[in-house]
Amino acid sequence: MRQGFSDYFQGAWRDPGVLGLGARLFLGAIFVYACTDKIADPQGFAEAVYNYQILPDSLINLTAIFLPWVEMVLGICLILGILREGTAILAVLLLLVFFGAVLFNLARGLDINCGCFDTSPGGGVSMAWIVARDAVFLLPSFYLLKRTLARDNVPGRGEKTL
Amino acid sequence: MKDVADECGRGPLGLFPAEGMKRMKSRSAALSRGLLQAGILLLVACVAGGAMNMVRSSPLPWVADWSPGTRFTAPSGESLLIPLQDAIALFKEGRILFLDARPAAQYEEGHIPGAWSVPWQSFDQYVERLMAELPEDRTVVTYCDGEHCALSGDLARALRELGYENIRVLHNGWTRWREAGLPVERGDGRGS
Repeated sequence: MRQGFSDYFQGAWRDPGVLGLGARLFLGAIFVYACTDKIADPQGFAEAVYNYQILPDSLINLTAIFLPWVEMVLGICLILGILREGTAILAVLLLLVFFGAVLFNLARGLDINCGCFDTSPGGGVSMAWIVARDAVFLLPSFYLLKRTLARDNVPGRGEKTL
Repeated sequence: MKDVADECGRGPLGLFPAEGMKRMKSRSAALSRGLLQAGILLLVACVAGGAMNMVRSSPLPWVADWSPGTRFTAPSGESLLIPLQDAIALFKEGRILFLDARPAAQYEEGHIPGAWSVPWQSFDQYVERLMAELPEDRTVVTYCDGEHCALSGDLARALRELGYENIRVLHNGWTRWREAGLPVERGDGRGS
């Protein structure tokens, strides 16, 4: 039972490899870095969410309160390598949502201050650049998802883990 | 035939590859475990986010009013909005200065006559000049374009924070100005 419990939290990327470790640490660092400004300035982040003009008004503050913490918890778990299947799924979902939101606004020609990394204005980063960057973030997340779901991840076999 | 089936890893019935079945099983087990774990992650994040918001010195309200009247307010709570008619009256008397908060390219395509281009995205580059040159004897009114555009409000609040009091926002200014059939100006000059 104890073994099972530990496996449950440990999850499994049973094949050793630098790529998996690199992807995990890279994404973890990105998520933790991205959420610090948002946690420090929730009002600013709420305005950034509003500027996306996607969510109804009633969900804007709730998103600004909870989303940065989803990123924080996700980033920490990625770095520590716990709840691996869950983090892989959540990372892909979250990045797809971000990517879709930016792409949607790019397609409809809305000029917004992204608010992805910094809640203050003056970044002046172009939307196309943001789309390209989010696409780059998606690659390691898909890689992790593939590793957690597409392999024989039967826990408790004692294989070397990352 | 048997050899081919072995090579392909097919089971005795030849319907599914045996290895494939095993993989599918472990994949679905990993997926269901992953979804549960994702649920745990979200729960922890919600508890942390909610708790953090409650212990903040100024918690964010769970649900806020994002209507223009509320969005365009000074930190003191005073509304920054100026009615279009008031802006037109001041414009006719020459007692108003418009600041166009949109990107410079949009300003060049057309703007309110006499407006200065102060793109919010590049605000830092304009601060010193604004503080030196903003007139004291005219009402300064910021505008951008669109119901949801926040640039004008951001610009007005930033100038207020820098100590400039006589500043207002014309909500959805560019569209409303044109719809009212008022004169417009083109080009990249500051027009002052």
